[in-house]
Amino acid sequence: MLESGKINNLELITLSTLYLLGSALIFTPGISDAGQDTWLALLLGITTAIPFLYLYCKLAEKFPHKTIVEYSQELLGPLLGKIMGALYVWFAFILGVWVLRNFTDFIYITTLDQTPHSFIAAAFTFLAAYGVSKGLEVIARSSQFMFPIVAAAFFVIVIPVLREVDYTFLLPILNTEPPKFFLAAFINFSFPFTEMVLFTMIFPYLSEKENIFVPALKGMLIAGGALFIKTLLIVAIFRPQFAASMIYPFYNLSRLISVAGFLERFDPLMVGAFILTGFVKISLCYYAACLGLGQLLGLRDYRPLILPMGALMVAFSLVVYPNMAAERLSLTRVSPFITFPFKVIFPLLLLLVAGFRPKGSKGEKF
Amino acid sequence: MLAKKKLLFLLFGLASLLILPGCWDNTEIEDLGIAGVMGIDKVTIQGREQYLVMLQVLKLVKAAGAAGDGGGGVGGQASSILYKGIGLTIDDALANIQATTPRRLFLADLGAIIVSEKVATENLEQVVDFLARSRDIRLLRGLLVAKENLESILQAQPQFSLTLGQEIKDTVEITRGFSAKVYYPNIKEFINELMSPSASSVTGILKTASQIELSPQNSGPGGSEKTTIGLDGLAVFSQGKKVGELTITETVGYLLLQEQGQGGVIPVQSFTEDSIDFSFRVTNLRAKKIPLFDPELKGFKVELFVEGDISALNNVIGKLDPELLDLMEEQLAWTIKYLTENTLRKTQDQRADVFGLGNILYAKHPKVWEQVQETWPETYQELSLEVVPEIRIENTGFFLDMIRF
Repeated sequence: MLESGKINNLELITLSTLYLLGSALIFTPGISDAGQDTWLALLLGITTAIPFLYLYCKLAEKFPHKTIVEYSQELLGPLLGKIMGALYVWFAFILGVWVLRNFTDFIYITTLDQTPHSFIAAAFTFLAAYGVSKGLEVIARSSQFMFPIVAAAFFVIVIPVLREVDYTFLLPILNTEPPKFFLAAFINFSFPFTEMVLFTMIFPYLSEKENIFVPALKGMLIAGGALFIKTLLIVAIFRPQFAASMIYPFYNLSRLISVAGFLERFDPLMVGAFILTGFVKISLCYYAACLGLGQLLGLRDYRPLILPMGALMVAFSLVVYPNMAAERLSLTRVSPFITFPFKVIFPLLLLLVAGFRPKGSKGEKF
Repeated sequence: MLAKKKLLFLLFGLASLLILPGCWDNTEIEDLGIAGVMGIDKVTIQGREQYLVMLQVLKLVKAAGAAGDGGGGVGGQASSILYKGIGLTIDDALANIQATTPRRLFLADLGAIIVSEKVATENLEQVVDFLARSRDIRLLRGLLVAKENLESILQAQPQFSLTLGQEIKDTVEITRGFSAKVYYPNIKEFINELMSPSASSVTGILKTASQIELSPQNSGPGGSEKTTIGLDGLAVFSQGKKVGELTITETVGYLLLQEQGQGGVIPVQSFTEDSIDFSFRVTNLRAKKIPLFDPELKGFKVELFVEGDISALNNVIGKLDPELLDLMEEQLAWTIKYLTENTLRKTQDQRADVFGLGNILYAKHPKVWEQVQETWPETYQELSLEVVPEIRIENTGFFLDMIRF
């Protein structure tokens, strides 16, 4: 086994919460499609994602000591299994690249506008590399430490802006054309909720393997709740028309804080909280890519892969989108579709194959 | 056992990522040119329209008798310099200003942004887009329209606040609830309204004090001749353009209908021999805008509940009994109905739904809105709009009957 660390249920909750908040907190996916119904699209997105989370957990319970890269080889045979494993390594890698780019742009636009993208990306990746090299346990433990900081920052932003809320901006309810509404729901289903599929790379390292679904669901519901509040506030404060033209609506929300006319400029706090969620998400993707590749290649240790993988992530993150317009297009029109097989089709296929296998060969002996 | 050091290293690294890169290009406050107010106009140069941006930049000077050079004593007195720059875009003009000053321009403390009438009528979208796009300018700042020469307004000196922008802001915010005759929204509210289905909004008009209808020139101690400025009425916008204005009296009507008139004083004139002149201070206000259908959209009824106190009496003979108070309520209801309906009619003439009636249709009757949205400005103009006031005079100050000799 390449990873010797163990994480407990509480760490799984904080890890999955911060992972899901990741870049979903800075964007408001689907708002240009669903308008004032975005919060409903988000609810539909999370509701439809829950059965898939159950599916990922079921797979993990069938193979309690194997990652998706390992058990796909067992289920599909060496060749197909290795192809499937390689695809998941690519998925973890590209997701990490996208998120790295999201955060590089975010930090550049909001805070460090005179710092080169490459430096921000490299600094972020260096820290993530440190986390990955120390293993899953360090990332998980740090998420437990960061969780209260992010939660506090979230409420510091949310509470003072409540007075700006106009609930009539949420009306009329369900007035969006059905195709647009379902597209927005699908975008939310895909980004971020079913990105939980990457947790199939870390489920084997849970100390309690019975009923993984409950803590994972808790994490998803906490993140979903925060994203729900965020979406509701953005629509009820900015109107969907104005919010849809913003790149970072939640960040703009933090710029509206003015307590008694002198407590202003809370936005650095927001950037700080985002850096934490970004770190968790990038580290997990980075970790999953390194671990998966290590397992695929049959290495004894995944650590030699950290530096080359990190260098590739930085390089790819600089070229993956030519500009912001392409980034937005990718977030809402490309990535939800090209990642669909990884989140839905492949896990379903694996579960189906696992179900059809003769009983004697099912799972591992433990 | 996991070493806490690893965790600390990670967190310290993350914190450094945010904080440290800002250190290499730090700027001392003395090196900043803090702009208090920005004016935006358009001029034609060699047959091509260009932006003329004016910045009133704060000049911090050491107070007389304060600590010497080494004392670090900046403060006490402040004066400002008006910088002007021309460019194809607002940012280009700002860069041209930057080229003429030894201080780094700092826009994050802008109290207000003032546009000329020409810009308000022709190029509002470009200005608003720049303001929303800018990293420095906050959406909480105000965007106002200059009624006369923008430069003469920007040359005015603040009387109480450090910057002119702050003074404009304070005029509305500190006095909120004490006059309810002036108003301007912040940039976020302004954009929100213009991007809403109604696509109309208002903002304050700035004038030099000598031009203001209801307030004579304020003079400083010793009859100082400094130019002072003030807000007077509202500029009305529809579909991204300035389409008209509301006078200060119509502004009172606007604020009442928008539930923003708390604390406002309403003067009530006598209209019969036995009625009286008095003024009324609004303490509580609710305006419910109800669409009327027949079966098509016919108009709107505004149920306006106004509660408040009598603040001054001019000519009461006899006792202020309940009967007289009823009469005063009736007088007040008539005045408020006149004030508000007059404002409504004016905005109908301007085809600017600044009260967000279209937004109400969109939110609560989306099917009806679908039918009228294409021609909403024209439909709004034709609507029958009626205000039904419900008045409650609560208190009369320390005295009930009027003091007479």
